[in-house]
Amino acid sequence: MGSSFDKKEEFVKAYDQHADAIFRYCHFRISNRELAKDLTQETFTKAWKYIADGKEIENIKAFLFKIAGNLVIDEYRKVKQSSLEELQERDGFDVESKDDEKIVFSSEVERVRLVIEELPDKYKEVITMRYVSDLSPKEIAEAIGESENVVSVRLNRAVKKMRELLRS
Amino acid sequence: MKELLNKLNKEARKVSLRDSEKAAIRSVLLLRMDAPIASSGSFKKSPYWRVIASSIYVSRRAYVPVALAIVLIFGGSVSLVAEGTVPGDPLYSVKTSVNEELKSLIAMSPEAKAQFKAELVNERLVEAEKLAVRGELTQEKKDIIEQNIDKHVDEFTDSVNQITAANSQGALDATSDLESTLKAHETVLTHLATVNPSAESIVNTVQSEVSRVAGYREGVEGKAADAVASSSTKVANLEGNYQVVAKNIKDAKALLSTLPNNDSQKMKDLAKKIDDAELALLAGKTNLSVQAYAEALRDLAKANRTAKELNITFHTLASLNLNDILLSGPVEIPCATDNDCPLAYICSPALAATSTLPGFSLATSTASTTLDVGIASTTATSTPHISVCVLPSATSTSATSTDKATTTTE
Repeated sequence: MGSSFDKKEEFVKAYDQHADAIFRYCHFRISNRELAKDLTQETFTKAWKYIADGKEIENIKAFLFKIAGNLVIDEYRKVKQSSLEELQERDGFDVESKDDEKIVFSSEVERVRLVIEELPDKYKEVITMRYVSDLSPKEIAEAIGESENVVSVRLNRAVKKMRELLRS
Repeated sequence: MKELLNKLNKEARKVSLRDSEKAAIRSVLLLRMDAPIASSGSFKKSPYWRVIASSIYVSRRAYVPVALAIVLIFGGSVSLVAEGTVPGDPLYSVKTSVNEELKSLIAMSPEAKAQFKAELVNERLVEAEKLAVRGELTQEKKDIIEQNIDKHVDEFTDSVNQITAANSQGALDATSDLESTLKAHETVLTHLATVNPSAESIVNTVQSEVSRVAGYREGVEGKAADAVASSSTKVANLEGNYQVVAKNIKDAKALLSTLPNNDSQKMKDLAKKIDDAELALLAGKTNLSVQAYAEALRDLAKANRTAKELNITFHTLASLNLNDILLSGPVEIPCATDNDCPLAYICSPALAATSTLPGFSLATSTASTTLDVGIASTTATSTPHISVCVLPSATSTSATSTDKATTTTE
């Protein structure tokens, strides 16, 4: 990115282009619309702060997913720290979005979604990036800080695991 | 498998931010981006803008209010006009999709989010009341309001779930406040339903939300009660709460005393609630003195809920100019101008005088719409000028109502 004006213009363009994909990724990973919205905003805020500090970004899309991925992990940690499950069991409230805000898929795709939920985090991450947010293996590699080869292997193993889970 | 994943990809594309949400986040980002950039010496701004912009990066919490203030002051005249709208008004979507979305972005912490969602529940209920008073509470508008109330309560509990483990007292306070708000509006809407039956279904919705939130509150209260006994700080806070609750009850009593002196059942019910709050406060004080802290917490929370419910009820009735609805029997609303009448009523001079008594005389209609009609003379002459508060739709039948009226004196 060049001058500050160019930086701003490019960043706003990046927002317009990738906001939905980031939101989709967060929503799919944490199943809470409000929180996904917050994480989307936080992702772009952090990305801008990085740019504003004068640092260079090679691939803005991969960089945004890297931040979003970290924010999702932070959220998982927060949920683990608070004894939410205990509260839910006791009061019957779920942290997930309510019916009108849940992602509504066809029954076939809903099965796939539930199977993805069952996957280990590292598989869930790459499958969501690849098939929900449309990232290429190269972009995923940049986003998670692994080689393209590792990503391809991980994707293959994730698909294999999903196939097994669907059969069972 | 590949086919299934392609289907997932296709269906996942439907998940996206709403236009208003995307625009709201964009606005916040733009404001943040206008703060000075470390490597951007060539991008010059006016000194005034630098002062504002430099304040934007103070902290995550601090800059958004600044941003919102800028939007509202310099570009938000439409947003401000939209604030008082109700479903059916042209700018209502600006209020819910722009103003409230922006405000929700400001509410960062779960505590702030819970408070904001509770405010939205209150706002939806006020909208229902305004519409009921105007006689414009159609099924379509009721559906919008009821769905939104349900959604806001869901969002509220999502936020409270996040704070309960770390701050059970805060969670209890927030939930109790929402319960008080719902109960207060249940009272107002119940009274309004006696005038406008279209408000009845909203009353049912509010009642079911009251039950739901009360059930949820009991769970949170259990956690707070468990926590209070094991913490000296929490016990000290509880003792401080006693003073706050006592003040809230005092405020409610003061507001009740400003209402017309009347022995209607509605007024008796409200007075009884004050007695209930005082009894719960007393029980709380007693339990505090014997160090039964869990019980004291429950008693004080109950007293506070009742006191807040009454305060909200009185404020809401006053803001809608509906205090007279608490009086017994047919409500007569004397008026000289439209300003003397409840919202959406007009002061009609069309009715004939039935009283020749000097001063301020009232006539009571025996028609089924008696709550809509009041008569007053505004002079002390034997041929007083009669002024009547009526709903605009009632003016065509008002002469008939007056023919049946009987005279009473104040």
